[in-house]
Amino acid sequence: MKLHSPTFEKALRRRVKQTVAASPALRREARTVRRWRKEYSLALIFRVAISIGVGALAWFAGSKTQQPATALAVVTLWMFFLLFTHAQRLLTTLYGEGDLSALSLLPVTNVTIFRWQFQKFVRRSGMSLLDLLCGLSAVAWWLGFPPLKWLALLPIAALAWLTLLALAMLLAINFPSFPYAIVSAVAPIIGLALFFAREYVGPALLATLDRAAPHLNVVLPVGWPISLFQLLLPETSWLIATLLLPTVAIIWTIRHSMSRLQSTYEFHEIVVGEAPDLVPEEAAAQAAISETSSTDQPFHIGVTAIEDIIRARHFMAAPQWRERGWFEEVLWRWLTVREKTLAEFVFPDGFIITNAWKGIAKTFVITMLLALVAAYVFPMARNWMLGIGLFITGFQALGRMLDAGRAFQAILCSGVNIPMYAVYPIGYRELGRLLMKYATVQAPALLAFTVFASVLTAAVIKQPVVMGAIIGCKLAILVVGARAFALALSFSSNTNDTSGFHFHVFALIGLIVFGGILFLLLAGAGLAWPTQWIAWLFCLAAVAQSYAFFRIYGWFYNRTRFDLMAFPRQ
Amino acid sequence: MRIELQSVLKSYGPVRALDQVSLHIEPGQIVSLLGPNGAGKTTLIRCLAGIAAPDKGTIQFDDEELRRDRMDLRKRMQLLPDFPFHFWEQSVARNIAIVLRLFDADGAGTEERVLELLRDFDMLPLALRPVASLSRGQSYKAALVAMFAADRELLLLDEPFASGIDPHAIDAFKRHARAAAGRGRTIIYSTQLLDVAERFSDRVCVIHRGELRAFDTLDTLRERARDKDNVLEELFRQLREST
Repeated sequence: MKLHSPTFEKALRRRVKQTVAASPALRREARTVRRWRKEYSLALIFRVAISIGVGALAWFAGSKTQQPATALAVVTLWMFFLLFTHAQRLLTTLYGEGDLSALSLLPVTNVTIFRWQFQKFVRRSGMSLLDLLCGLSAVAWWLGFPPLKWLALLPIAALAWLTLLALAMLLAINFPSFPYAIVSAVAPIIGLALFFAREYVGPALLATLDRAAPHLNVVLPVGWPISLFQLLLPETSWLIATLLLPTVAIIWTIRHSMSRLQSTYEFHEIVVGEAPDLVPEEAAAQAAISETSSTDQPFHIGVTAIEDIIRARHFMAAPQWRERGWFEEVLWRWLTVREKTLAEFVFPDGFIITNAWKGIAKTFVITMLLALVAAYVFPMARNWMLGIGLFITGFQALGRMLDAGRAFQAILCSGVNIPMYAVYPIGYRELGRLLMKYATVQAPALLAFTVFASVLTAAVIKQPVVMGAIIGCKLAILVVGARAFALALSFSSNTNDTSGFHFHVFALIGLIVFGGILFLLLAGAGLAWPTQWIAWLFCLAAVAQSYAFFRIYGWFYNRTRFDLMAFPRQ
Repeated sequence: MRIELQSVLKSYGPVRALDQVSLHIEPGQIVSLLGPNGAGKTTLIRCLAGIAAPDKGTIQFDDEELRRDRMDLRKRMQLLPDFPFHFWEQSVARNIAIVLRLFDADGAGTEERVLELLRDFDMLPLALRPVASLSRGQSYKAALVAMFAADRELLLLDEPFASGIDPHAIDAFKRHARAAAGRGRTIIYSTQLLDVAERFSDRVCVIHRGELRAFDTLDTLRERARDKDNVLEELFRQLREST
């Protein structure tokens, strides 16, 4: 089912072109609009450059190590990263896109809107197929494949692409609250840092990749179809062909995943009961009774009762989130009256901190137990279990620290995305202060996590445990310190602060790039010498630099140097 | 609140959304912004709200320049976009409470004002429903209740008459806006409905291709017009002919 008519669109486009061509004034206007579109063309060129970059990296890894598995591991790792960006993209396209509210007003069914949004997701994912083709072609070129073998690259890339989509759908369905956006944001920063530090860490990194490549391609499901490439090599074990079975099984889930996503695709309910936030206890009890009764009608409170609630100012009462746990209690006591108001705006459903950290601890303990069991049954799997466990819980912890609730959520409004805070009298520093306090209060939990994880890692890689503990402490300090930097970037999202040709735009871009690199350098220096006291100074300098960046960006923000809105990406 | 715009210029790429717009608006007026689609009405409203940053020129409220860190000035005005920003899972009443607290307008007596507004906009039976369960018109009415309850000095509304609200709510909106203007509040709204603008504004501001083409009372515009019964229609006809 289509939301548009291609024949009509084609005829309309032809007619518009004819009309524009006939009028000099319209031709002039069309030329200016075309200039405006250049931004999108540049984004496309940049994305194609990334695909070529993936190919170049695979070619480089292969030619340096002379191992096809290592070259393929580069493609696998890239696909692993794309898995998170795709899961995030799917969730955003289906549930968080600005034009959904407008689409829901159209006289079309939710199924139609779902299909429309889903095909948008598939279309946007097309570039990952190009990444795969570039990566596999680079390896094939390096190995000097004959023309016939080149043909086999197409089905392998297609299988890998479909596996990527299927896995992204499975992640979106089963783990919708995982901080995919943070993985998508942090991974390129790590990549960039490694690129700049390649002189120092390059050889060690390549050697590690070379050692891990055979396992990496088998442990990560995105690597299964990519491993099929090895069937094209001489003297290959045909056992690799068995990876085709789980690959097909994953692709097979697409149909089921689609129907599951579709079944939960509802924008609004026509008839619902009262919101639970203001319903008095007796009325709620009555509601529970009425819900268990045979009638299908939702429970509603009478007008007189509503009047009483309003008159008694129940609706203005401050929320009681402090009872939710220790962290909530501490944070609530720390916040000023104004910050409590802002907290209600940022987290309308309340803070959930204690339970979230309990969840992270549970996941951590489970993966450690699995690693312990694996150490006895299948020793090689132990490190992989540990690695996967640390990866998942590490990003969950980072997600907690960078959580900003609804503060920076953008709403499509007259063709542009406007962040929610921009419409209300909410200041840069007061909102920043609230979110800093929110992150700082979680510091003890983060410290416990980073110290424990670092000590464990140090023990596994046979390094002194004390060194692991020190690195854990520093990591916690750096993550809390980086919050200020990340906050400024959150304010920067959904603004046009880095577009156009103005002095302040270049100043801001320079500030962001320089600030980011400086933070990474200072943090890297702080972690590089675990036992020397000067390294602590580097850590503190990184924290100070992050705060300074927040304040400098705030200067541009407060002086109204850019719009608090951005044109939606096509 | 006295509003002063001096040579405000705002461009989006090659498109000039506001071109040297200068305005002076005294408190206690209802000002309608008129102009063809893409003329710059919404941009002007966004500039006044501090969302859009003028490339050049200044915006002053009571002789003080509007900047984003001037929270005292920002708390004195409120913007209502064409699609209001709500907390969809929260009830109408909770949404109103959050807005009132953000504007520090939750003092004693607020509850009676909220109650009166909920009744006037026929929203009382829906006050405890989640906003997500309301129709577009109802959710806009919820935002209007919050806006009038907060009672700021400057109210900025983008296309309030195209928001899907029913005739009774339109009438309530006009009554409350008129009463607010009587208390010295300034209401600036954009619209495409010329007859509404003609009857419901103290001053009309016509923008075309980012330029301010007219800013006057209807009586003054009528004096200049040839067709005295259709002043704004004539003005729009002239705009069209001039392009």
